[in-house]
Amino acid sequence: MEVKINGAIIKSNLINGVIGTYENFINDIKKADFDKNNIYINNKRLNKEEKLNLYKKISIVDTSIDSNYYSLSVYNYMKMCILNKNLVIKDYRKKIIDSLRIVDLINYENKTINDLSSSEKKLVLFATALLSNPDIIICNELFCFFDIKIRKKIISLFNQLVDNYHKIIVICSNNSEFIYRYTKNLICYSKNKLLIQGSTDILFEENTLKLINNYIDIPKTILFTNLAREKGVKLNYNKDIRDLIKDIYKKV
Amino acid sequence: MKITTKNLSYKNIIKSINITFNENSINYISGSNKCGKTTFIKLLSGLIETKESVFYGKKDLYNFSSYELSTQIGKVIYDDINNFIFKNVKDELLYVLDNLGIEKKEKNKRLKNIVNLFDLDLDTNICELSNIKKIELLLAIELLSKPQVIFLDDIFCDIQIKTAKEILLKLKSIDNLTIVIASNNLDLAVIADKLIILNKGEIILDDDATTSLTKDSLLNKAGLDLPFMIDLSTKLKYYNLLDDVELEMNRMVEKLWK
Repeated sequence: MEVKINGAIIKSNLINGVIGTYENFINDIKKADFDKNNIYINNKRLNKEEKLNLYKKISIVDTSIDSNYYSLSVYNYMKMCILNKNLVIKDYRKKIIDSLRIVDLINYENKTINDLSSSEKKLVLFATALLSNPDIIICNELFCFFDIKIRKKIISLFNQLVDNYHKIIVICSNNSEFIYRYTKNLICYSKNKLLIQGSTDILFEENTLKLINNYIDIPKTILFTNLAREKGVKLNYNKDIRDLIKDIYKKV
Repeated sequence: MKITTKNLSYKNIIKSINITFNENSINYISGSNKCGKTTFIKLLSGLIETKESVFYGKKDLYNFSSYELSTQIGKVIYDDINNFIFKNVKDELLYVLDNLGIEKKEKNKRLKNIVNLFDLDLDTNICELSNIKKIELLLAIELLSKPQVIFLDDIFCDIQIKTAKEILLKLKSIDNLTIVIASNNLDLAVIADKLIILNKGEIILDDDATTSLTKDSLLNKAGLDLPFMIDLSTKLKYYNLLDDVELEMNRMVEKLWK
């Protein structure tokens, strides 16, 4: 499936990345400005009712929990989100516990938000996004608070969601290293306008992004490979530093 | 101001920490999730009270007055990014200045300096600011009281490293300011004077940043990603392809393929 929101194409069966000044991309979805947004699914333009149905299937994992809710327990916070969004969930109590279990926050329901670490708050936001069983999950800077262990766990969860449940995952981040490593389809914004989109590997490795926008960081493995190539050394583009080292070892 | 801790402990989160942060230095505290970084920062900044454990110069932090705590110690946390009181930048900054109880001339001087430092537009609506500008505004608010120490808890997490470095260099340019940063991203640690790694509430590494960053096995054990150039250097050194850690990419390529 391919969903086109105001020109930005997100695809199922792979992890999508959004980079650059993408606030408008998130805001378009948050504001749910149905009349303004042009939305297509598999090249078919959606009418107002279809747009409404689509928005119900989108969940956004935001950057932080509003500090006004810090005194709530995790359970009450998630219940409040269900009520605020008018989500129809058959057994919401079970669903809250299940969502927390998915992100490895077992027995966290009675903890106060204030007592959680930054990474746990972010995981609560992620668990909250899973409550509605969304088809599209948009994560805004999800990984910045996580260490390697949690990051790997979340990525493996994303892969399961994509492969087994055909969910559409969108990672919005300005960390080009994560984007290059974990996403396959890339949408790039500049000054909140869609600049370019396509295969992540191609956009980075063919230096398209560097040529058209200096504000987007180029992953360091690519910068290094480009420098070596300028010296006539034919290094391959590697996403993992261990693969890069093996390649250097062969070519020194 | 020099900060010293003596057997600093808190519940089971922070365990008997003895450490010194030198005056006018950049100190970087890192560690995996839930290692106690935020709690450590809260203890050092007085948000969590302890007696005879944290000393600023020779004075026990416990004996600081509330005015001293709020003006001499700055604290910026990422969660405050949307916690502004007023609509525009000018009102937000003037509110802080008014509460400091300083003369009008001094007020104007501080406002002008801080606006210049972070290139802030006073008439902008805060809601329209980017995350970077919001972080800069939070820093500006804290710096108006001319603190001697500023604690930054994970504030650069969703900002490009290049931009974060620029902000940090601006802070470094301020006289007599000790900076303490907590983050699990080591990319920024290269410009710090000192790197401290926490693991389960204990310090497992406390050394100058450049030396600490070469201890790859210890850092990996603590669940941290090494900065690219240091990771690459240490691994190439292991294979005898490099003699020493090289932070400049161009120079490394030159050394490898002379």
